[in-house]
Amino acid sequence: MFTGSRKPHLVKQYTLALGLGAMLGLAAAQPALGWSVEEAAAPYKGSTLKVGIAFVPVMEGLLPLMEEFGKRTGINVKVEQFTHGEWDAKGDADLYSRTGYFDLLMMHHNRAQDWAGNGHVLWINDLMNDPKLRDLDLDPDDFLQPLWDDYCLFDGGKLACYPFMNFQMVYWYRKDFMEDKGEQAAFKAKYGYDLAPAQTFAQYRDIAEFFTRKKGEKLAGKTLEENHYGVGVVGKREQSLTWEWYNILNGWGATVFDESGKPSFNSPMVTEATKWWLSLRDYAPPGVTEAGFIDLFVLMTKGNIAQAIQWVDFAFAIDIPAVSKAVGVYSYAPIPRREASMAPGGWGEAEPLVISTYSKNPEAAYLLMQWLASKETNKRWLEGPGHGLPLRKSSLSVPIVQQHSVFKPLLMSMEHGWFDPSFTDYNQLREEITIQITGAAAGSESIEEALAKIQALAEKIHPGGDINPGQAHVNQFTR
Amino acid sequence: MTDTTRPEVKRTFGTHFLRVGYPYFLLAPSLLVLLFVGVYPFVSMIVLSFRKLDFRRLGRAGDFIGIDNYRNLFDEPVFFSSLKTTAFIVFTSVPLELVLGFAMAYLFNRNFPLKRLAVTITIIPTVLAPIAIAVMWKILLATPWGFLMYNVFYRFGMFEDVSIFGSPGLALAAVIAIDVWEWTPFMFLVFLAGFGGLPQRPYEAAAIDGASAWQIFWYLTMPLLSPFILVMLFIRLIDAFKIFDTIYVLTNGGPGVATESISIFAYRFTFEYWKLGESSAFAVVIFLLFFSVFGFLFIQLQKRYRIF
Repeated sequence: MFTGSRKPHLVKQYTLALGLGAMLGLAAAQPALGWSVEEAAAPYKGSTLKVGIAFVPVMEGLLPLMEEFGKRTGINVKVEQFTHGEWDAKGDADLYSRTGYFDLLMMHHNRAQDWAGNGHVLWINDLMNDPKLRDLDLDPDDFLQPLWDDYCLFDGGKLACYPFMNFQMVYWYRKDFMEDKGEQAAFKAKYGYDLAPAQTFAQYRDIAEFFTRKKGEKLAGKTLEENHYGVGVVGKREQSLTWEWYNILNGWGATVFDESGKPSFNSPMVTEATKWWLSLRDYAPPGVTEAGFIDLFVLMTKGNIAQAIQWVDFAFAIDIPAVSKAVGVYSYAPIPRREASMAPGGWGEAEPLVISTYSKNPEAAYLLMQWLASKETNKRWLEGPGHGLPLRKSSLSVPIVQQHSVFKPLLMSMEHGWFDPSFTDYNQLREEITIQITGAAAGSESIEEALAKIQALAEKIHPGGDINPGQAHVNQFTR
Repeated sequence: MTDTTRPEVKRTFGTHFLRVGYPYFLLAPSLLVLLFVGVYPFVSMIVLSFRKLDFRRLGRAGDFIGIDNYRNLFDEPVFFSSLKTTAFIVFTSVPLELVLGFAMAYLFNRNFPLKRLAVTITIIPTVLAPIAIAVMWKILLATPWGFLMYNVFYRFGMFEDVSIFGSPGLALAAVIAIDVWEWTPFMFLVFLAGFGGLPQRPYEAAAIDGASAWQIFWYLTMPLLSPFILVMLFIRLIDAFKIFDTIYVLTNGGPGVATESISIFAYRFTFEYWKLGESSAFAVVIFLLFFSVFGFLFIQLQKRYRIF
């Protein structure tokens, strides 16, 4: 039997070894315990960082945190906010003209090729590996995918950005209508199955038809004072039209770029899906062709849309009584697809932060972007007023993420989600999609003609090859 | 006897410079500024229109590529459709503005209570920023949530299935109507000033001669105001060709390309696609087009009406 009294010399040795081990362990842990953003930022105190961002609802909770970073570090953080359309042009103009006006820029990740690939934004590996700058609790493995690997990581391990936003599109539905006994019975009598959030496009269409009612008819036991629509659809000639279209194509099982990167915008499946999507307009409010995603949100705040595909960050805004008549009535689920057995996925935009190559304060800029993406800040953003978006796996334990029904579909949407490819001149192709689809929807041409024109431009711009140059490992359309 | 002959000034370089060069010396600062802000960028743009230019990759002008940028531009069907759309907007809205502005000025050209207030209110659309006007009309007429659509028309069961900015014909009509609403007051204001400045004696003579109201208007007022009318027409034609803000906010050129003006086309190519070579070629073509059309018009106005 081993006792300390019987072998005192061994006990002494063990004690010494333990003590030494503890000292070594503490020494090793010293930087982790000692590293702080305040200390790291000390050399840059008094410098000014200009941050260019596109304003979105969840930004409200993030702006005070940026201000707090400024107070804690002594670095002046000046944030300039723009609408998305404005910011796209301004961000590009700032980098391409090499003015260095902005140090940190929120970017559509599909700008990666044009920005990082052409040297307009810094590869951040050196900054990240600098022991003075690196937060030892950074833990890149903790980032949700594809926010890190697909959006920021280039071949050869080069990193261009840090996650900042995590926008995903999910299915919104009126849970109050779905739970109404009278509506449930009427739906079952008409369609032969139970009323529930749509999992398939066939159900999506049935629900759209069922809840399209005229003023004076009854809905959930109440007489309608204005028309009610079964579905909200985006159709304006702007970027948001492509988001919704891609969601439909993704759920349909169609693809627009095959594994070799060849475009297939006029395939029978794309044509079929597009026709089906446009047919939904019979159950949508008039004016689909002039409705962008903001217009759709405004319509939804009026409370007369039964379901739609919309962004997750608006889920918090619609519950604000000052802006919405539809407080607490929507719930969320993964975007429907052609067959329930297909994996759900949705359109996504990470909009990470990048450091301008022309920035005069890259180190200070790095510290801010790292801090904003840190575990602590992400949790505080989610818990704060206006709520935020999860960037990290560790953030999924935050109570709001557990409780709010938008987060589960958000995560499912990310798994098989599509996002904009980043090959050069994709913007022109995207604009062509909006031109042709709105033209076809307005009756100026047939769907087949419209898709043929999109295909022709796609073949001219990107006949094949990596759809995300410098990121051969990423093909969002075929996974 | 005093000698009244002027002493002969000795011709030196200095005196010659003062006599011939002094005006140019005074004009030099303005000419220099013009050179740097007008001529240099213009010449530079012409040069760039023959080069492969991609700021994304190079950050500077690339190789000389001949007329490829022009060829690409002319291969773009939307270039021609945008020209056609712009011409349609201009040649519909400007005459309407002219007639309405003139009619309003004619009606206002008399004294009535609160005339000044009425004039001030009337010109509000013209003094508003175009972007604000576009946003305002969007808030009023967007389907179905626009204030007028939602709160007025739908209440009376009107336009329930109509999308103003979503139908090609209606969207174009709306753009024209908003332009007319915005710029008619400008015409009105200038014509009102014109009416106020008309000499009284010809009218007194016409009244004594027993001319009818129509004769006075047609044979007196119109000829006297014709310089105003032509100048206003000239200014508005040039200005209307640049229409951008309203379309950008309301339709972004859609649906399809139904409302895409040349400015929207240029914006797309420049700030969305960053095709600066093609954009430069576009600017050169538009300049030549404008220069020839409006140069001709300018010369005619100078010759026939001795204005400008």
